[in-house]
Amino acid sequence: MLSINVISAAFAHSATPHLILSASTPYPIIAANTATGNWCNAKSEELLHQSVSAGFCKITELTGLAEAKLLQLFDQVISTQSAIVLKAEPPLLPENNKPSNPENCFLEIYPIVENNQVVYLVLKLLGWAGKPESASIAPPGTQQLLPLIFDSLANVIFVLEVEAPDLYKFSFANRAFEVTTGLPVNKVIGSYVQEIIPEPSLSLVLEKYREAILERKQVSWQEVSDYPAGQKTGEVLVEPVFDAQGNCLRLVGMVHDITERKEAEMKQERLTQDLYRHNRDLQQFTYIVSHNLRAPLANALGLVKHLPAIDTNTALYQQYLTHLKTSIQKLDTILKDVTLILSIRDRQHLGCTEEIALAEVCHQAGQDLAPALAACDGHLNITIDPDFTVKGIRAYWYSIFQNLISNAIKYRFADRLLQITVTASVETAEKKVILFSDNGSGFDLKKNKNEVFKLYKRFHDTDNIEGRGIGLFLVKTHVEAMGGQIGVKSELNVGTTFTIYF
Amino acid sequence: MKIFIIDDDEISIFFTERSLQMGGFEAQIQTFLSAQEALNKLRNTHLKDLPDIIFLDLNMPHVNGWEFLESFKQLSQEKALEKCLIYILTSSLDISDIDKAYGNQLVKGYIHKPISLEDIQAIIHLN
Repeated sequence: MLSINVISAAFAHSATPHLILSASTPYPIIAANTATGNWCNAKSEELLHQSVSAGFCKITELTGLAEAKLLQLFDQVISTQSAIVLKAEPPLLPENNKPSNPENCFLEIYPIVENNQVVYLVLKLLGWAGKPESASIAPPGTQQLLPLIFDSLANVIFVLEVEAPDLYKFSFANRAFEVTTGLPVNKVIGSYVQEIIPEPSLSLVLEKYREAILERKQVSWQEVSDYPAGQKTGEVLVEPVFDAQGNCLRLVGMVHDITERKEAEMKQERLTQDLYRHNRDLQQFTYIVSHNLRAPLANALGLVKHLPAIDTNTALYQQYLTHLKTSIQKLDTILKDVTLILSIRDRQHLGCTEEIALAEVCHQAGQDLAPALAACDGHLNITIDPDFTVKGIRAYWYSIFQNLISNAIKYRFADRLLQITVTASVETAEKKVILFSDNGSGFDLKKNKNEVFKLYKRFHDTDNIEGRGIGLFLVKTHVEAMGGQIGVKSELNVGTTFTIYF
Repeated sequence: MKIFIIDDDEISIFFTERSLQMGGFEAQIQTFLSAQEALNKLRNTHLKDLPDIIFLDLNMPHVNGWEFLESFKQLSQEKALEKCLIYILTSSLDISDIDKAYGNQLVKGYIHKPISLEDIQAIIHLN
């Protein structure tokens, strides 16, 4: 028997109140859509099991018709298996939900027929919810009725004939199918699923169909597919229909297009991530101001305070002046660092995003550091296909490689020759991975896990090496500004590997 | 009196040392550019040569001020370090640093850089 879930799902998102009744006395409500609940100020679940004349919210009250009249109409629809449309005056229930145009209110009663039997009655309350809709006074014939109903729905409805295992042919698709996918219904009907649904959704869809048939139950899932109308995200529900011998004849399916909702969710998620990142930046900049910026400033303040008491003709006075100059220069450097970082974070240059040949940029950074590499007999091995490209900003990629190579040289292991390896690969259609490894001194990742990419943090026990602790922070900032992610693995005295995901 | 200054910033060490001298602190001052260096010295110093006062910076690479305090606490279980009074001397304006410092029993006081003559007079008075 046609599942009530499939039928009610078809009406679920309609703005017109719909009630589905069992086609036998006392004609209890077995499904009601949200629009019905909204109209009579009740939850749609509260309307379930109410009958013509009994219960919390009687059908007589909902339709404004007397019990005898309703029963007569139901008998007529069941016996003729034809729909009835009658002009009606909706009840003033609730008081504050009057229709905008009472002239356009109609009550339509449709039979849902299966195996020549009326199994359900659908009550469609046109014009009830205050939104006038056109209605056909002359009801269509029963044969055309369900397709007509389904064509009026926003949700995609389809029927697949099961010809053989994994061989499903479309025997019905409503107009929403065409609107949603951009595929003409007349071409869909008669086509096999493989001809209509593209990969990678196809594999998922076939798996779900198998599951529905094998477990003899309704199956639902979410899928993202590329159609002529664009990329669509849908909540899909399929119900298998079996014959008396238990063979699966067809699959009845419904798709609720949630593309807009998903896009809104993704937008919200991006906003949340942006907010989180801004908050994290704010915390980091508060830290920089309170610690790093304050340190040279405090030195300068103290030195200036001492100066008047020192003889200007002494070496000590000159020492004070040198320290003062160094402190002010340090202040200037930090302010420049902060400005640089803010300019990257603000993504001022994202308009210049282009496809970058990664090998070329990496070779360029390596060449610019060739003297430093040669000085330590280091070797840079770039095994990136010349055609391998990533989206981004050339200057950022150059800075990433320049900083990583420079760090590898600085923190090389003293007792062996430096080996740097850069590789790139395509992991999935949407994921590229760039690996940067060295056999340098490495660092204690357990101890420094949260510090690696922080600004002005240094964690190698090599105080004689110049550096401000900004290189890796810039690398991460550049990677993230172009929409990528970076991770690190390191082992003390063994080496370090940075993994960049794009 | 013996004093240790632990700070990775050479200019800050210069200034603190000068301030102590100008403030009339008659002391033997030893300076350390890293907390690890200072810990090594404390481990290997005879009791009579231990410092009376330690000026400790917080924001240092490798071993920061907080990690120094942790190691100092462990060290004090092996060695009588009660006579060492630790003053945090930092440029940090972070309230959480101040709260954390005063929540640490080893910390005698918290001084914002640059150290002033008034700060030095107060320390002399207390000791």
